[in-house]
Amino acid sequence: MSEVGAAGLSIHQLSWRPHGRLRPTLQGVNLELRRGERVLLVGASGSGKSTLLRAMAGLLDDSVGEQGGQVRLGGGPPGRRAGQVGLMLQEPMHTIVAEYAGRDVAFGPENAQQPPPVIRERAAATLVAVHFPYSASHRSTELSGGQMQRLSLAGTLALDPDLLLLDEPTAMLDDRAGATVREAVRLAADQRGLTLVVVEHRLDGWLEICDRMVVLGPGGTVLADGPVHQVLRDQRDDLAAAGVWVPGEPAPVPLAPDWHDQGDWHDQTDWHNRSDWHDRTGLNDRAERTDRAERGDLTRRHRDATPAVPGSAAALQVKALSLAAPGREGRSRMLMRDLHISLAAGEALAVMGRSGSGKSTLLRTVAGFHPPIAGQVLLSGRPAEQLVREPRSLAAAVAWLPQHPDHLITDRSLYAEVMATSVKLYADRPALLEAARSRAERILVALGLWHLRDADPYQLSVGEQRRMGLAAVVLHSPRLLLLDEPTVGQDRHTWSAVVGVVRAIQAEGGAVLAATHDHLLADALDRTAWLTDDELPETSETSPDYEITEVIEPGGTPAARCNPMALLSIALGAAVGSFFIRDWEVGAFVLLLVAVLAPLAVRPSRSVFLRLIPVALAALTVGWSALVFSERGPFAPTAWPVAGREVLRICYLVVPGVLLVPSLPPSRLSDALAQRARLPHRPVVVASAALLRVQQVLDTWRQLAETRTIRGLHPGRSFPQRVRHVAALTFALLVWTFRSSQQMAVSMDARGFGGARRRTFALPSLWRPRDWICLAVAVLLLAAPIVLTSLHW
Amino acid sequence: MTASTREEPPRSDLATGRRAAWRTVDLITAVMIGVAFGVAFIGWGQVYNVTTPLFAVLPPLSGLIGGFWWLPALVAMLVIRRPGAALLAELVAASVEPLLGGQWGISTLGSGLIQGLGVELGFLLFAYRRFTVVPAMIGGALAGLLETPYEWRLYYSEWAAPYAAIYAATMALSGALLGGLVAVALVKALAATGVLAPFPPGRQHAEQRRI
Repeated sequence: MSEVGAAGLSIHQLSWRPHGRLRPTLQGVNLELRRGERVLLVGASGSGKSTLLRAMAGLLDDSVGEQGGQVRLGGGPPGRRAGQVGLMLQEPMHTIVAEYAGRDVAFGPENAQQPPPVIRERAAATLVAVHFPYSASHRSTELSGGQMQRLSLAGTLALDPDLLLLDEPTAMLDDRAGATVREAVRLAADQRGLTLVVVEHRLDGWLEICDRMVVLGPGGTVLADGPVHQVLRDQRDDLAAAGVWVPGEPAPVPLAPDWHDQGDWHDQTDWHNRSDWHDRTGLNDRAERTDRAERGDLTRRHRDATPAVPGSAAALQVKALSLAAPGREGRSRMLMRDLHISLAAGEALAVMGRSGSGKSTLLRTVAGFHPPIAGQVLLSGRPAEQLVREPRSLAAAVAWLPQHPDHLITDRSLYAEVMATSVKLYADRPALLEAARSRAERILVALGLWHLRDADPYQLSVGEQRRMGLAAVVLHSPRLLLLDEPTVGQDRHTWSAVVGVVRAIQAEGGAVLAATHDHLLADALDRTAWLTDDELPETSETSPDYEITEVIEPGGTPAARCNPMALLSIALGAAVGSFFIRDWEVGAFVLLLVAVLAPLAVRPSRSVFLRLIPVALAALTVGWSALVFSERGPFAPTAWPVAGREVLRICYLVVPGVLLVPSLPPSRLSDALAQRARLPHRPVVVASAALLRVQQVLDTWRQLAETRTIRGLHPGRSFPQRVRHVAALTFALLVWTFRSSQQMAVSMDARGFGGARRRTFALPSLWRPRDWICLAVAVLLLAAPIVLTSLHW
Repeated sequence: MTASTREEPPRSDLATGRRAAWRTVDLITAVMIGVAFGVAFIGWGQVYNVTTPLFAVLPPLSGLIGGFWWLPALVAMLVIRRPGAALLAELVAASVEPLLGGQWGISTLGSGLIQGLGVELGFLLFAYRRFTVVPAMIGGALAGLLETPYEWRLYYSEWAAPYAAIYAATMALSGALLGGLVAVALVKALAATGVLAPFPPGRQHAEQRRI
């Protein structure tokens, strides 16, 4: 321990056992790091690498488990100073806390209660350091994965850490984005002399940055420790056995699951109608094609084994397809134009392209969920948008493994999960159902999951969940299998399972379309289509403006420039004023006043009117109930003007608030609530971080629903079925919510949020003369009904 | 382990540490529960659509599904077990609704406040030391009873008193059953998935499973 300098990290006999687990995830871990050392931490999935990183950051929570032993950084417990230990996570979205890039970087310094000018200066300096391609006013949710990771790095560096921990920071990224993140890390480490600990499955790119490699075995025991190239040389086989991707190693041998040895278990003949192998309709210039002539023997044999039947429909035909991604405020972004793909039965195509180039959208379109701008998708000759309306035919035709296999979970045991689609499809064909059962057993044995058949799918490891997902989507032998990033973040074992299952499905005559960043996977498939995308720059040539300033969206209305507290006072004024509306004439007059003022808050547009429709319906419902349930008796002649008044009163109560909502962005609202209204800082900041995620939560809900539909689990029309369906979706959404909340909490605490009861704010919430005008409007909307009513009576 | 300064030994069914000292994971979970339910409520729209004609004929019966709206408050309190969890989650759920185009605009914030407080009251009656089905059902019912006058005054001021009384009764009943009971079942099922590990229900579940 004497060797370890004052700023080094020392771990002594560290153990960690989560409550309720008999075996500890870490036991007797000893590790010493000198200041400035750069360590690559590798090990099999489940060896406790992530837990060890959290221990190094001082972020293990004793309500979750029991910690033993000692972790010291620079002579004291880690994290004494906010941001002393920086932590980057795999999923960059978990680290976003603020609406705009600059404010996101400022989060840590704000927690450390630094003065606002210092915060702004630091944020700008760290954005420069990571070569952030946009200005400080860019929306942090509108970034590619690589850009988000660099923003997350900037947020960490802004607190000037001594130790930087990276938990698979490039696992979800494409090669180019991963390289920019690694370069930013290397630069920061060079400039600041950071101690670095990197956890990764894929070592390429990190070997040049790190100087030491530590290999963890089960329970966090150190199997090897030494200079990177020495450990790499000595432990090559052990590393490969642990599933680690060592550069230069050949691709893993695909698993050869032999699950159709029992003869044809149901009629497969129509799937063997393959078109000529050599008749591959070329992809157009935006999607260049690559022929993979030198295929492994396995697929080659299958190709020769099945005679081509000319003239039959291809498994998938994409004709002249143009797609756009939905954007904010109705602005959509073109993803691809005039795309052609033709996929014969038994063929496998990899779709590659950068993050954001539209790979996932293409898969959703093929499944019939995303309407294309132009062109057509035919699945075995039938239009996808037609098939999507027939859940059973859709499930028989297409299967889809989502990027996050936990989105697939609908059942409480692994076996039931794998059987779910077949149970639906073969509900009235017991023989087929029985055949599916025996096939399920063979598949689960082949994938090494049979002993887990009764396990709760949520309790499985990520790799097990992915294998379960594969089993669940291929059990019913779909004609087309869609895979969304099936190997991202996976070790070699799971990789070989994925490729093995793809080959087995091909052998049965199923076609495969895989969206991926993984070159090895693409090499293992028949062909590759490249989607190009030139609209998302990873880095920029010119230097953007990194100064944090108040962001006013271009084209905003006068209301968008006012303090949110002032705007809220308007809504409140109208709401209180609405109680003084005694007759419909006054109601009509004051509502006219709102209509006159409305252009100051919103530009008249279709979306504004769409927002007002539910309000109008609600007001009419209230009017109706006033008519029927009035003290004057149902439909009394005197009840009619009263009902009219009620409709107008509700509109006056609700409409001003509805019109002002778009002018209340979470960031400025939370600044105002914390600084102006002096509400407790922590809940306000967290609430605004959560409101940023509304879109993400909506997307997750949509994905959960689509995954169920494509698995044939779409509810019928009956009321109980619908209730069960939506209840199951709600449950899955909540599980996802709890998971991501815990990741977000770790990331926020790593940036000093844990101890920050009071914070400073990078920008003041200013009260300007125009806010007094808002207040005057609030008084007007409050007083108008009172004054008019008193005049009228 | 941090030593408890209280004289009694720490109970595993209560939140660790001082109950007013919220960890970050408590805060972020409470607000994300609000967001998730705010989104899920839209999904439930396809289910309520079926009930709409019934409630159009007899609006006071719409109270029968009322308890649903304060599920975020109940779930947050049953999971996090700190005073204020229900209020925070419900306020966030109520802010998500107008963002997503809710029909009542920002007056849902008032409902969120009242429903959150109602649920808090249910647990306050037990000094925030019991997080079982009884306080959950009482909290759910209280939220319904408190919400009724707010809605009566705000939206249905023309209703005669008997109709408002029916509304209060249906809201309280729904709050206890559709709110309280469902929330307890939901939290139990969530604990079984392992995602509640940092919270008392997850800890209890882990302890019970241990052999």
